[in-house]
Amino acid sequence: MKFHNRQFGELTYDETHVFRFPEGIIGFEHLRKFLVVDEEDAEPFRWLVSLEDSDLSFPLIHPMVVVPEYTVPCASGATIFVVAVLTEPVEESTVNLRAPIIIDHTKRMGRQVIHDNDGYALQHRLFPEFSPTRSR
Amino acid sequence: MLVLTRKTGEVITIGQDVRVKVISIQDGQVKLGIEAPRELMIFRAELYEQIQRQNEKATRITKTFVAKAAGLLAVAPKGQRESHNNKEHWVRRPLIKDSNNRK
Repeated sequence: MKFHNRQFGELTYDETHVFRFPEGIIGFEHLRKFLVVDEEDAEPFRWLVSLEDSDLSFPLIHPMVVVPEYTVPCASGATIFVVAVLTEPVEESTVNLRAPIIIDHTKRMGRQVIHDNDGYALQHRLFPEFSPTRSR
Repeated sequence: MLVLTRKTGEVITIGQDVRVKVISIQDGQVKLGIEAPRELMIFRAELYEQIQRQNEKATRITKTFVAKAAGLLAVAPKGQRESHNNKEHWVRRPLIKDSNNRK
């Protein structure tokens, strides 16, 4: 099957690449079908690409890249991503640790959940080392 | 908007599956207990809106920008940045755009 995305152009996929999100993504509840796209020069980022809106894709990253001890309860066996909110300048980019995206490979399903731990920030800096102005 | 007045310990039901109980009222704060099916997402509205905003921002990010961040991440002085996991399903089954990139 083929799908045309504004950014990626034509994507070729089959049914096994499709993840169903029964509740959509927060703010995009009408979108239920996504692909995870792995682009070479984007490593370690991935893209969650909507199969229903050719304009929509979300950059993802494994939270463990940013916070090694990050875990989500009840998500064993699943792959955990967080949305990467890249900004200009790129050093100020953040990731949303509070609302991880859980991908269940066996069920081919995904979900964006809200983490119970409010110690996980909605805007956690991706590059804390470039944060000279922040005092802690 | 439907407006109901309830006292501590009283409940409202929404549909067949959702019950909202007033647990306590103190100093202008209401503590609510909610019983609902697991698949129903329940949020504090402001948290929902903040997440929505982050998601919306994310949709405006371009490939070029992600490549730039990936480059910066690769040189960032952090130990844990190496891949922690190479058993991902889609890495073995990558979705590659355009057939000329295949293999």
